Amino acid sequence: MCPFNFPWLTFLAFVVTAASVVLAVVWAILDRRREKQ
Amino acid sequence: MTLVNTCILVLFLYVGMLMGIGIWSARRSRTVEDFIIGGRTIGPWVTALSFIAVYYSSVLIIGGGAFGYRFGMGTLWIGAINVLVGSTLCWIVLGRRIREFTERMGVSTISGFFAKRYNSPEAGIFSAAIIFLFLILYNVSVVKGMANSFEVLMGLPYWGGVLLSGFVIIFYVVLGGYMAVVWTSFIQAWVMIFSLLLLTFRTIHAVGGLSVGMERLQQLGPGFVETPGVWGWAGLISFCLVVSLGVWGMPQLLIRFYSIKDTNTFRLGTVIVTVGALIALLPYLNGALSRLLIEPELTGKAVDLAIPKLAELVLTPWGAAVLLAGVVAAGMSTFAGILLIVSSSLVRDIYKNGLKKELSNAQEIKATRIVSLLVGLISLAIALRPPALILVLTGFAWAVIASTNLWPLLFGIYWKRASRPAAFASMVAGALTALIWTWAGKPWGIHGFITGGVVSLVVIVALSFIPWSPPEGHIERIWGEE
Repeated sequence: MCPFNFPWLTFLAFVVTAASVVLAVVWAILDRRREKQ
Repeated sequence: MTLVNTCILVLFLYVGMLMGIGIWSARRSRTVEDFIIGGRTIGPWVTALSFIAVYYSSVLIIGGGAFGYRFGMGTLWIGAINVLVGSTLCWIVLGRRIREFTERMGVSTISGFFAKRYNSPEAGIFSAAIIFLFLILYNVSVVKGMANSFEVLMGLPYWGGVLLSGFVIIFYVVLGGYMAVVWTSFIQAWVMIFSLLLLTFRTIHAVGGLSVGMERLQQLGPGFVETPGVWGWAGLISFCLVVSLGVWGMPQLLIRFYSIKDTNTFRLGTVIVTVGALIALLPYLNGALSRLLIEPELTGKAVDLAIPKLAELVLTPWGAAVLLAGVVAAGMSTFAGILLIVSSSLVRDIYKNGLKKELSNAQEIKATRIVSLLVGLISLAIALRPPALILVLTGFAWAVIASTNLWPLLFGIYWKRASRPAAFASMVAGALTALIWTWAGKPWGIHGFITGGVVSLVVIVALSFIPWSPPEGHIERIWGEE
């Protein structure tokens, strides 16, 4: 069981959602670096 | 001040504000480019939140809640894929390229891009015709969803909801064009975000906290908390793809990339759109939890009442009014965004570029306004008393439009070999497959966008390997490599 009594495969939906936010931020940072070079 | 009066006062202020934006925008629309893509001056916050508001209609909130109620927590995956594929990846993969290509090519509609990229007037006209016909149908279903919410949340008769919301939208779209659409949808996005957060906090509180709620759902049946749960893998995965990857072929959303100020704004815009898109999970979460609160059990068509019933149970009358505002805002922003796209596809792509008619700047703005007015009124008239055939066809709209536009667009900006005959054949094959497949009643429960998308993908890749000789320097000009 994961936090809040979620089955792991259902909880993974929250993980994927959080990963999207991380992806957007990382992409933005890398993109800015690439432009500065 | 009684509560009903307060609600009416709030409604009047809201409508007044929307109309004010329409009048303000009208004074800022001097060229056709201003009127249909805001003169490419829109910043990251407004672009990103307006993308969200046009993406999510009333159907997401009411229908998403119904899905959650029926199929349980596994439906959270639909929201998660909406965020990852429909928002974040869509912006990263398509956003900047579409912005750069369309400015270099000097095009301001989706069909205009096809006509110029593939040097193919026929692809431009075909996609504009598909967009015109099927987006009108899609808009009819958006109005219906909105008026149904008025009916269940406020007790306003169906026709009243159609006319009230319809006239306000037509007013600001006809007057203010794209500027009015983005600024009203920016405000509507905030209303949607606030109302969904309010509902979620109240619902979680009412079931005794998320952990307790999940435990109680588990006792009702493990299918309500597991993935894929009651629904099964095939249904869940194909639905996720349809409402997330389908977005990559939807003109009312792609146009946001045309109108953004400059390519740097994509960095902040991508982060904002991802965070804003997170609200997609909330209707499913609330719908699944509402099974613990709603007595007696909803069955059949009544599952659409999951969110309205939940609102009655956990929200104060004020809170319910806020939720109604959120649901209506979701519908209005989607309808307005589509109305403008439909009008510009008829005036710009079919009449001016397709039939080679001369239109001055002032004439084209006037024509686009008149078409918006007529198309808006026709959509409302159909929504008031929809013939059975129209209702059947609205179920086709998303599949047909996405199957027509998706691959020619993606390959058009990433693959130099994608050729004129391949793109046109891919559009026709994708549209026909989606149409026939849906008409045949979706064999094996597979959505028309899945089959239409696969067929158009195979066609565009296979036919592009046949040599095609575009005019000298055509591809280099498109890619800006002269």
